[in-house]
Amino acid sequence: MGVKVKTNFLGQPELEIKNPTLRKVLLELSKRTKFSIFNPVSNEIHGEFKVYLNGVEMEDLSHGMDAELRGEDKVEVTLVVLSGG
Amino acid sequence: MLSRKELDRYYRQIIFPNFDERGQEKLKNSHVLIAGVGGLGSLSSTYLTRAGIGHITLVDNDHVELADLNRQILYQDENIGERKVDSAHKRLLGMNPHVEITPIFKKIQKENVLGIVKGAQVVVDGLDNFETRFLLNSICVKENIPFIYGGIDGFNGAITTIIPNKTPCLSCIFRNTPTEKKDFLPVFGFAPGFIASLQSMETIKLLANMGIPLAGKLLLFDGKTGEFLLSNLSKDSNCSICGK
Repeated sequence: MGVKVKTNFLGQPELEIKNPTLRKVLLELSKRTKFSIFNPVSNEIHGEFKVYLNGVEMEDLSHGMDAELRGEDKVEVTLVVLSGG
Repeated sequence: MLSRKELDRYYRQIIFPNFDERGQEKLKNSHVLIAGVGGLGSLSSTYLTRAGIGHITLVDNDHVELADLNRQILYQDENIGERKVDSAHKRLLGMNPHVEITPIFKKIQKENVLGIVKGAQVVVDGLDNFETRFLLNSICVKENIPFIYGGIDGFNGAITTIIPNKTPCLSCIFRNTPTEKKDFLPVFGFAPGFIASLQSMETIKLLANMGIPLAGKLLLFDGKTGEFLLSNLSKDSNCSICGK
């Protein structure tokens, strides 16, 4: 199934993923960018990213990273502005 | 024109091919604004002063605290309680007396931001909050001044060089970013040190027209894993700051 992902660091790629979940999307994005978006052991999203499914932040989803995706779902992975000083 | 002392001081820069005395003179005739002299600004102001930027304006409205000393390399115990811009001014002149330093003890706000950036050829981000960053981004786009964004969080850091009318601006990149953050983030000195070094490099590349700036690209560094992400950024045609 094709999953369209909106990002602010990789445009809006369409990912071809079988039985897609958020985890698989994030793994595919990490593969494409060669940059880990989450820690696969602790399942923690790295602090500089926010992940949304249909506008709901991932940590508020009942199935979290294992949420299954359907055709009309909107996935957004956003790189967050970092602080300083 | 560079004096004999300046030629000696900057010798290791002047011997760069395609930079030479003319490049050094360009730096001498430049004016850079450093917004915030905390972790990032301490280091970028140090490198830019030592490199011989002719005029550096420092803006900050904080005082030096003990908890700053793990990373803000311009300050020492004896400076605690002083205005950062005043301590920084003194310290930087001690590093290079050929540089003019203008300290401004002010919070950057809508009402004064234009006056603060006026005359600067590059604005270097050393801020610790998002609101002021977006304000500076907006005025830099309006005034056509390159803005070098730098940010850190823990072991992570990010940098991009924003060139008005050419590259995406900060609002294009982080338009939907939630900006609420804790007041105090954990930080070792090396994270701002690393990003501020890159910001200094970007500043000098722009002023001396050397190399290729990180324009339209965001470099993200994760210090815990040693991974870098270099991503091409896209302009947002609906951006409220730079969109047409």
